[in-house]
Amino acid sequence: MSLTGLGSRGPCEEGPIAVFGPNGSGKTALLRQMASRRALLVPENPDDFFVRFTVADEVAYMLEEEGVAPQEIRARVFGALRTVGLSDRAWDPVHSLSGGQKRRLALAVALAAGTPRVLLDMPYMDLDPEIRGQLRGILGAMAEGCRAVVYTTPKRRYAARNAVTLRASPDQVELPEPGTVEGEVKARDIAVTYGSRNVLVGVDLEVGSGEVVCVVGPNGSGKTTLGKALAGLVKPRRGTVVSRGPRAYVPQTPDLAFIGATIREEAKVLGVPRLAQAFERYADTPIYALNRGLRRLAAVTAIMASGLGVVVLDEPTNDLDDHYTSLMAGLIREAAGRGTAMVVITHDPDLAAGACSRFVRAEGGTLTDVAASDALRYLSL
Amino acid sequence: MRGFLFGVTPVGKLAALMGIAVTTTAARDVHLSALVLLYVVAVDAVGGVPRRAVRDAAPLTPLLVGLPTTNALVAWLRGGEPLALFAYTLVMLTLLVSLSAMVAYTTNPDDVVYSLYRVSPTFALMVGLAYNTLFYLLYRARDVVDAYRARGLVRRRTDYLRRLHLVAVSLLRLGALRAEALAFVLEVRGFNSPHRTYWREVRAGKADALFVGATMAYLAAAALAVGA
Repeated sequence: MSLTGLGSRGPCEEGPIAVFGPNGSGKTALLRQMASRRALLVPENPDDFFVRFTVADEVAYMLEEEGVAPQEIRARVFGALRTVGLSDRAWDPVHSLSGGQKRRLALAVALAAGTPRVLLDMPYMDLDPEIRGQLRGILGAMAEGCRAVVYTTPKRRYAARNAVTLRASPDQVELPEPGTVEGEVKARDIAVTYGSRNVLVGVDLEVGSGEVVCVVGPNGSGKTTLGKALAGLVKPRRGTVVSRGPRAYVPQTPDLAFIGATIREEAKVLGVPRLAQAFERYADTPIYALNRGLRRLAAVTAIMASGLGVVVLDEPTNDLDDHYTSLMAGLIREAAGRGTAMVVITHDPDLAAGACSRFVRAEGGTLTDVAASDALRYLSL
Repeated sequence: MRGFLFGVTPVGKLAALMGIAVTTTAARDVHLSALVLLYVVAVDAVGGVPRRAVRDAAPLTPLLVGLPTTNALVAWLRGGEPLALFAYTLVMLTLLVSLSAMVAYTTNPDDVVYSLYRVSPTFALMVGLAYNTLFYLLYRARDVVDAYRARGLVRRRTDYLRRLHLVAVSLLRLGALRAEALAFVLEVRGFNSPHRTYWREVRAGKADALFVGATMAYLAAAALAVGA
């Protein structure tokens, strides 16, 4: 498989092409080189992609710039939003969408756009299993009419039959042992409202010392809000959250968790010198110059090494390759083994199989316990 | 349910608001201002401005009380009319909050951008991007503060103030990255194409005429009543 001459004739027969490779192998750099006005690049962080205020206007923007007739724009905007399951949010502000819904919106923009080539950087990231299951069909729809569709993925399970494989030597990291602090957290009947939208309605959850509770469920079901409420970052309108031991939350986007400009600075601010030792080779490199896998691992390790009683990880592996995912699963198990109460919000079946001891499913602002086999089946859709 | 103000274009709303601002400021009359405030509150209620406007404005209470009180105190020290000044300042501030709520809770910012396209497409898009960036930075600021709190670095409000410079540095860094990403994205998304079309137009309609007309008529009647 080759990317040379892409869009001239090959993809008509080939369908979407995957660029598969581990973190740090240059997938994003390759796509950025290929991007142009005729090759739309949807970046890995959808927040970097949006230029308008409402969901529908965001999808319409490119079509307007392309000079498409208003009637046709309307049809394409609502067609694309229907395909990604966002037609009921068409006139909502983009910033009110959840991480997964923003990813869906970015896909809708690519679906509606008329560029001859579409480049998607990690499109499987943040998506819930239902839409992830439909993504192959969506990518196929994008590739209609001889349109070239190229996407990157660090996970083998999402690589298409037509895959270009990039290689890279694994990063050299020796993870420090997590701190030993016993903790637990109990949420009783918590309700959270954003504006007029009820995000959580009467949720109960208990996570004991040494437990790893994984929260699964569709995009926009309140998983992140639950995680923030458990960590004390969101004040519930009703109900209580009681915890033992210091609490921490690692966000979906690891870049937002950093305070220092380098890992060494970060270790200094946090008072955790072991962090700089673990990432010695990369300790003085600017954080944003590190690959996403390293940034994610450093963000989580910084928290774990601090020795906390309750840790909430929001989608800790959705952009990690298989090697990093197994490292992360090991880190989570080890922290739980030392008494930390872990809450992991995830759509990743590999992490769930490797780290979770119990599952709950969020849907419509409520939580229900689910059996491990059911949860894993759902995540593998 | 959305009130009728959602059907009023930004141009219509701005015209009416400008009229209110000019009349009440020029008159410097507490009675006229109070009557106008009453009208604006009524329009807000009919227009379906949600209750959260009141909740969101609650943090402004110190300003709404503090500024009129200070004005009244200064007037009293100078031998003026403290009560009249207190009432006038309070009414004007409340009017300002009510008008802002009218726009903020009934206006889609993309509609403002669409209205501005008649002036200049580039200017309109710049306004839209500036607005988006403002929101982006507000949300990132919250994320950055959350990151500090999640690491136990902010336990009290004073900690937050002490570490404000670190938050500012993080935000500057994120703002620079956003600017770089935006430049790239605008390029690949075909910014400033010469063949641009507009998929929806923001036009003045009956609701605009009714709103602007009613506002002007009310202002005239109020001014006449106060004058008499």
